[in-house]
Amino acid sequence: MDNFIFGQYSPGDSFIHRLDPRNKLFLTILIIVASLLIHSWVSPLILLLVCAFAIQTSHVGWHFLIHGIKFFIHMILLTSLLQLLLSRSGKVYWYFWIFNISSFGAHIAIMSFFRFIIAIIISMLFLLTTSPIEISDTISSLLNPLKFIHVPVEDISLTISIALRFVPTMTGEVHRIMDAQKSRGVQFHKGNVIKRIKMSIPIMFPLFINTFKRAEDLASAMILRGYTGNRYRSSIRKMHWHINDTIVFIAIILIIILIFLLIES
Amino acid sequence: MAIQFKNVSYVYHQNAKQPFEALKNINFHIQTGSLTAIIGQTGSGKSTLIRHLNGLLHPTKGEVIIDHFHIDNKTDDANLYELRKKVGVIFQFPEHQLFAKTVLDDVSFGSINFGFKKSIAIKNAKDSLKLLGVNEHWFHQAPLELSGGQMRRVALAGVLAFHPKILVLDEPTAGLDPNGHRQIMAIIKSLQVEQHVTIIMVTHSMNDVANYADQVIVMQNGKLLQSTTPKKLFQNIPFLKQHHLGLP
Repeated sequence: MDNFIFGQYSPGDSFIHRLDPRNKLFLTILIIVASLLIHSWVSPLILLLVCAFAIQTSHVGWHFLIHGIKFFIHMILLTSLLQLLLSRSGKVYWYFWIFNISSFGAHIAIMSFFRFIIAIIISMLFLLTTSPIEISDTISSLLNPLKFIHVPVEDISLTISIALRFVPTMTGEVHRIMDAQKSRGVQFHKGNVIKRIKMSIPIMFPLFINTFKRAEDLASAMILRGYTGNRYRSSIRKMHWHINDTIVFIAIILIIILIFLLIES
Repeated sequence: MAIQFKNVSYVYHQNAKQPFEALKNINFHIQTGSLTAIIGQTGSGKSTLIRHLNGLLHPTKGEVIIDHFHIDNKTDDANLYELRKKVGVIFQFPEHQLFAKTVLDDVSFGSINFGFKKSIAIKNAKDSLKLLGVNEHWFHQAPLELSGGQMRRVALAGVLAFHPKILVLDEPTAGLDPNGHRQIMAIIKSLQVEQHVTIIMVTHSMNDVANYADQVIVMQNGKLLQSTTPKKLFQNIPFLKQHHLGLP
């Protein structure tokens, strides 16, 4: 839990930080989609290489990032292991009771491992290098066309930016509550599954109560400052598309086209 | 139970780009049965320091010695259960951590976790609630129905109920009215005098330092500036002025 960095922003001024957030979001989604469509063993390695290059240029720090996704890596390893042991198709190398290792199982286990790793790394990198404000601006700019069919885009983007803003606050809160309950003798890393689930009540319950209280306070504060929903708001921040964005955009698209033309076909 | 800090440093986000050293080479000693006040501005490392007293944080460098417990960066969390039974910590705004269905359940939660029998845990819970002046007809109510001041008392009772030998309090009276403040401080002092509980208290009130503390620790930017008696501290006018500390 201490190293849980999902949704955290790591401020910096690297090449990746400076890219247009709309570009980053688009390419992140593109890479995730590409990683889901590939079937060869070589393609994920190329995509991982792209990820590695991005991590290196982002100056986020390898150790920090890998520590942060440890939890996800464990989960992914578990799912891959289950896929490896439970799917039977193709040549069967070994079996025991309901478990077996088959050529097809091995293939999808490895592929799904790579797919999830790529998706986690690249989305983590997007979140680490893009401030919450930029993320909500990006989302609202992507939703902008929906205004024509009367979708309350302004409200949605405000809700998203508030939600993102409160992720670190709530993480801090969870830490504080855990500290307090540990001081009252709760041992989070002991006991069977049911005991551990029970142990989440002393954390989740105060967390919900405090979050509702905070939401009420926030709503009052917004009303007092005269907030009314769904008005046009100008933005103090402008997003700029630079030449670097064009270069990265073209480079990633080319890599993905090449993967599909040369390796996947 | 005496407490000793030996060259304790603590670094947050050690793996990140910008690690933050919250404690810098802290050394002090606290005697059994004394009442120590920790003062210092926001961000001076007080909260980090008190999290070392029951092993929630382990020193990055140096060693914390509490009775026969030694905590350094290699200490295993599993060994700290016994320590936490002896050292009760009450954080800022403890009423934010109440969760149980009834006041009595919440107050006995700690005792039951620390292996007290249910009947004894309930008895201890009732005793500490009475000590803190919580009316008996609240015992079976939900803690969230109480007023802020009452909730604070319930939260304090939840730690007192397992009879810790060391009691650590982070601004126990923040946000209470003057009357509640006086009552709580009197109870804390009586625990020290009558039951010889060692007490460590973070506070911003110079009056409390002067009225109740035997020892005072002054923190600034993660460094320990002074560990002295309140009398000596308040006589040292140039030091107080230099570090923006008030007089009682």
